[in-house]
Amino acid sequence: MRWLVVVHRILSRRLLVHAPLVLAMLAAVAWASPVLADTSEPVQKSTTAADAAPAAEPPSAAMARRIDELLAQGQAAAGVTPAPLADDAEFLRRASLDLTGVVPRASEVREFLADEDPAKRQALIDRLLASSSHPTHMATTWRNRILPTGADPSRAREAAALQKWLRTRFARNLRYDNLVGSLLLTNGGDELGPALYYQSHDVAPEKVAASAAELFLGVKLQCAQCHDHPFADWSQREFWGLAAFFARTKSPGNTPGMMQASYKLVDVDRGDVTLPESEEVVPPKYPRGDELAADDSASRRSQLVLWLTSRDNRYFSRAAVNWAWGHLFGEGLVETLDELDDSAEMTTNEQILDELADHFVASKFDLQQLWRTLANTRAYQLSSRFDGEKPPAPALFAVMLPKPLTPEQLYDSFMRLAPPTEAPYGWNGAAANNMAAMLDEDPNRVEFVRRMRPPPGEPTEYRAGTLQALMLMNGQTTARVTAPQESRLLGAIDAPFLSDAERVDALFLATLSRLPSPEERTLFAEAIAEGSTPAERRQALSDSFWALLNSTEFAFNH
Amino acid sequence: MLNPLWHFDRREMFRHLGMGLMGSTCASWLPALADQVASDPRRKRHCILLWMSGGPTQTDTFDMKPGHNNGGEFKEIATRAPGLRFSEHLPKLAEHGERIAVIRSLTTKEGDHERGTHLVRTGQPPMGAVAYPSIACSLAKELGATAESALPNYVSVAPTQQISPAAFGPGFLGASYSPALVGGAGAAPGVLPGVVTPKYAALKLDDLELPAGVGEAQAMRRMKLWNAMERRFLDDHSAASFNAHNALYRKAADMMRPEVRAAFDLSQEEDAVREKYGPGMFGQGCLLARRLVERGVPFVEVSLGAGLGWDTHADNFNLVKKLSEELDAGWGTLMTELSERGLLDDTTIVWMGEFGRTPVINSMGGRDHFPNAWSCVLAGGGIKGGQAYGRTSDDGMKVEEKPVAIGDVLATLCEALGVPPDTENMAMGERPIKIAEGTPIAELLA
Repeated sequence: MRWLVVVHRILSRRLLVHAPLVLAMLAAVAWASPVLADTSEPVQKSTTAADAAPAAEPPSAAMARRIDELLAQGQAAAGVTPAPLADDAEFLRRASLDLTGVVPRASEVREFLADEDPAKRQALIDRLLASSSHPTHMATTWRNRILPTGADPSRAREAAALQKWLRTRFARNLRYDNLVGSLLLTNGGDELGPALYYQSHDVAPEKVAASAAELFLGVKLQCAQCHDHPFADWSQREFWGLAAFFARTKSPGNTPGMMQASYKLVDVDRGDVTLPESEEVVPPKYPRGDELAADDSASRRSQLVLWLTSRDNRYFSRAAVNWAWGHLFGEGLVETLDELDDSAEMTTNEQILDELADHFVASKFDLQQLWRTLANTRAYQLSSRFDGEKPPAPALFAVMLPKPLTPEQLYDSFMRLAPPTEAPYGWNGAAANNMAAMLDEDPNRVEFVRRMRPPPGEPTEYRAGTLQALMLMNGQTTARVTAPQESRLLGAIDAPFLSDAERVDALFLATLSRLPSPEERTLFAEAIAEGSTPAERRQALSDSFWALLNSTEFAFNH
Repeated sequence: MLNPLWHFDRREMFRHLGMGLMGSTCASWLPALADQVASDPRRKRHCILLWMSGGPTQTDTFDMKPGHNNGGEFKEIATRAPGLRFSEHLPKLAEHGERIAVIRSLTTKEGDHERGTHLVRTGQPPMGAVAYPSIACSLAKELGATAESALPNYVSVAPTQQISPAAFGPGFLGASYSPALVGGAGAAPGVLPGVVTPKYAALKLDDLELPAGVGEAQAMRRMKLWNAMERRFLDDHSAASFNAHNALYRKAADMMRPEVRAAFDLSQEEDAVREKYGPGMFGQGCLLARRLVERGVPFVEVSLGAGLGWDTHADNFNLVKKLSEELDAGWGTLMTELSERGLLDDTTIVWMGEFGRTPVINSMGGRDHFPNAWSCVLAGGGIKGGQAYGRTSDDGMKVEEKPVAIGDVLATLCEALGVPPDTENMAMGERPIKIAEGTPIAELLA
């Protein structure tokens, strides 16, 4: 019997630890939802004959073409000519930063530039997705995405555990629906990490609901908390109906400030939400759907998750692909799904969203395939340079939007070029984060990120202040990377058999992931040649390195 | 002495940039000299926060209980303001009684250092989903919004942030509203023989100086190469964000100019002046605060009580006597000098810690955490001085008149600075958050 196998699998994986939830699972299986039945299964490689045939095109390629076709229609309608393709170096740097969070090594740039395979960009995308930095970068991205900005630094321990938890799942390419399901259904305790999502939202039904609606439904419901949504028909009642699903999830016996090694979440059988400033209890109701049928055999949140992650929930899949699109392109296909109206005529971008969401569902929520699809579009490979005075409207995706490197991308890219780190280097004004060190996180990285973290906002905006610039110009991270005597890179390129021009090439490849123009090569070679003693030459190399690391070009993924 | 880097850089700028893409940024960048900064007419409201880490005792400073068992050893003295009395260890401040208002009826609910610090500095209890900014960051953002200056909007001297890092930071406002941290080594008496002990605490702003081992000639070469790279890149790439990055670096480079760095150089002050402020981090920090206010910096914070210095669970009276002397020298001199320069009317000074201390003296001669009924002080610009607001009982154990919540104090401070307390910032999810939730106390406002 299939359901027995499923139950056995669930129990043996200890995903769910108490009876009501297991009952919910049984109920789920009974009406044949595939979502939780497959819980914790990574996406399987398809083994059908068609896919095995060498000539067969992966499904991502057809979808990528379809996206470009739709974008081209929109651009033509707007009378816009798209930018030319980015050159190989630009594309390598972009894809490396977006998919693995770090600039490519100089050797990778050389190899990629020398590679004559016409399909080398596709091959690169596959390589990056298979690399170990891909799940790490995804985990970092998600951790920042699901926790409130500036989350309490005293929870560094839990944040590191969450990072680990996420990374494991991205490394297995866990189905997206299962990933979201297991995050929302966590019971904490021995499963360190995911409970921080609830913890950092105070296990407050309205806070968790507002966050989950935005992350997993693509709908900004915060406004509807206090009043009806100002410009879409999301009512206040709808918001609280969603919040009601989280009203019976509690954290027993956790007092603030204590060591929360085993932060637990349990589902209890009482707890309700009421409309603000009223006594009226709002029953759980699926957003734009039915009220939850009276049934106490399953926890409310497990029933929400069944609905949420269902393949028929258009909001769920659309929100996922819109987020992934924004991750690569700097801006989502649509700003929010708040106003999406399936009965009205769709815009080009809505149509792409729709078809991409279908594709994602058909792939069984395969995130890797989604990245592959998006990165293989022509749109993703366009240059960020355009002809003319004014850039085309961003929503046309006719030119690549530059994104400032995130603090993590910046630090990790610096560290590619740095000598091995030892101890935390004693930040002025703040104790080094020793907690981070105990958790295999580089304490210098934690502190660097803390000092560089921009306010929430558009990923294409640059929002640092002078203190951040001073830190990059004069601070310890840069000083260590560029120190003439310590730098591995400078040591390597100071070898006597290299010409100054070759040294400049090496510096450019390592930092900007491209070769210098002839003028740049001359300018930097002259600067290096100014040194008359070996020490002075090393110094000049260090200064060249500094100038490249602090350049606007380095600071952006463009 | 002028730094050759900046001479060079400016010539370089003229030569290379001309009227190109950078023309406008350049124009606003070049003339920003320190003297002009100082006279910028738009930037004239300042706030100095004197943060008393550890929780200062009200009973031995500004709400004395002479004649009661809880009163302790210290005597009360009169101030310039009739009826307003301070501890005998605050004689300089007493001279400024008419500019000082004591709130004696502050009552809060957090008696733990971490939680109390968060509550008092942000106006909100910790552990919420919203990362609230410290009031200092919010005020610096508002007061600095109209100023084009090379100096930072918020400078903080030697804060003990570890106790509650979030309470010292910009929260959802983002790292660009963080304080510029001035760290440094205190004047340590009686160190190893043969080691020259500095006479005064040495203060240094993070990352303002060139890194160790990098000389001026090198810095010059760095900027030359950097400028060339920037010019080439911005010539054929255009995006608002690229220009923002470039402009920010120019502003940062501006801060490194010698005349700007000079603001932080206390050796330019006469010995007699440095002496008056007191040799420690707090005294020298107060002197720095005066120099920064003179140059238009809107928000300066100076901490007293490295670590949790005011946490006097034992030996309260010896410790508080020393702390009071340091406090009186630094703050008292600051009041005098700001007043002499006509700056006190534009500068509001706040004195507070995370909570007060028990009026009852414990068996170790100490006082313990006490959030029920405690004091904080407002002085200077916008404040109606010479008064004590609210009243505690004779034993100091409870508020008897006009209880004040922390939000009211923060809102009053905002009003005194001309910043509407209901000014809103957007937290994540486009949620508007007021910078202070409370009611300004009209009787305290000038």
